[in-house]
Amino acid sequence: MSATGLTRQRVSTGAIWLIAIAALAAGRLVTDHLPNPDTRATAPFVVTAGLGQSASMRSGDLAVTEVTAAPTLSTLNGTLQSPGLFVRVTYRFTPNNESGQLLSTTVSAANGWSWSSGIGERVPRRCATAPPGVPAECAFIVEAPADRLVGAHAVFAANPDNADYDSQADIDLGISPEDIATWRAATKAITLPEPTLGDAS
Amino acid sequence: MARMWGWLTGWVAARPLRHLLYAAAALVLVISAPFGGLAKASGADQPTDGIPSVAVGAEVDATPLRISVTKAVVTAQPGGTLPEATGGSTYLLVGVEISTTDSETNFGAVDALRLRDVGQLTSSSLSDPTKVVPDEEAKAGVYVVKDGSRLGGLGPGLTFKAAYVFSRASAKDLPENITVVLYRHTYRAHRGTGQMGWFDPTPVAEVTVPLAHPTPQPSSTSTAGTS
Repeated sequence: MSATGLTRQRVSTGAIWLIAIAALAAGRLVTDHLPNPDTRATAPFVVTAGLGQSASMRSGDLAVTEVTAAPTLSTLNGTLQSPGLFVRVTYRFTPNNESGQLLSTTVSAANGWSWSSGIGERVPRRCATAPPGVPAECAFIVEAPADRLVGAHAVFAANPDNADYDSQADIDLGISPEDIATWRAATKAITLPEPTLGDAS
Repeated sequence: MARMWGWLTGWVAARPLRHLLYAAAALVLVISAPFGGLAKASGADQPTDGIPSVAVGAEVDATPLRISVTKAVVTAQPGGTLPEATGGSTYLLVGVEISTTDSETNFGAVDALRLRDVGQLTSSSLSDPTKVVPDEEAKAGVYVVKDGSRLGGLGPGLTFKAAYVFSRASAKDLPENITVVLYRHTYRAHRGTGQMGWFDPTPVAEVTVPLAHPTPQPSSTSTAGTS
């Protein structure tokens, strides 16, 4: 075989390898955009409840006891003002098998928007790690636009990053348009109480 | 299969060498396309030459944020919870209106804005907050103008008047105008952990803002100069 023929054969073999790699890259693109079959297997097990009702989670029992809101929030650094509302969700969590607390606390709206708490001075969360069987009275704040809060739910999970393989509580906060009107007009800043352990009643 | 392979290799071998090289180059480009192709690797130090200039007050799509730069102020007394600047240092405040297009609380405001051609900006690192760093590495704290609180996350549906607060080692040799560079990010899985997030800062616009020098005011709750 001549030198030119040999070169041509090498180049053609290389080109075919490139075609194969291109096909693999295209396959990767397609699979990246298809639904992941593992998603259903890892998806959180959602427990639903209403305001005042108990939701039984893997790590314990949860009940949201109160929801309120106002345009201002009183903190150690002064009174904060929101372009929307500061929403306070008060809840009781009783761990069942080991000490713990719920480290993911958010509020989600009907349109899929969600507001998280626990990071930053505007949206604090106060809770204590309770031993098994002992209820902890806790509360968190989110900051959200008033016009998205009717029908909003509070979502709780033990893991701060995601609730895969775990239970997730989805609590209907029962917020009505009348609640929103009252909260928008509120002149008194809401506060975030210190958590308590044990049955205070 | 073997017959088809033989036909394919024969057909490819019959092409002129130059065509094969062109085809190989094109294939390399196609293969690299899902990973960015010829685009430069992104990062806050990415060259900002050639990005569009927008007017003060114009809204910029800095995905997942929308930011309008409204003013820039130099002051040693920014108010709020920030201490007065000492030892000849000062603060540069960039006033913005900011909201998110994300459907969940977004924590990327700090990474969406940098300054350019200012010099002597200091690090936001807690271990060495007085260290002078290149402008593109200087990160600001972001504060809500109305109450001086730190803006941690931006929830959907909320628009804030906020101030990006930079620290500068010296109050001398300040430019008359400062250039503010805005960055967008891409939502994708982290290549190491697989966790979804906003990565790959890419400059999208720059805003040239006159640097105002307000008269020092007594300390107040709100972040000074940007209200």
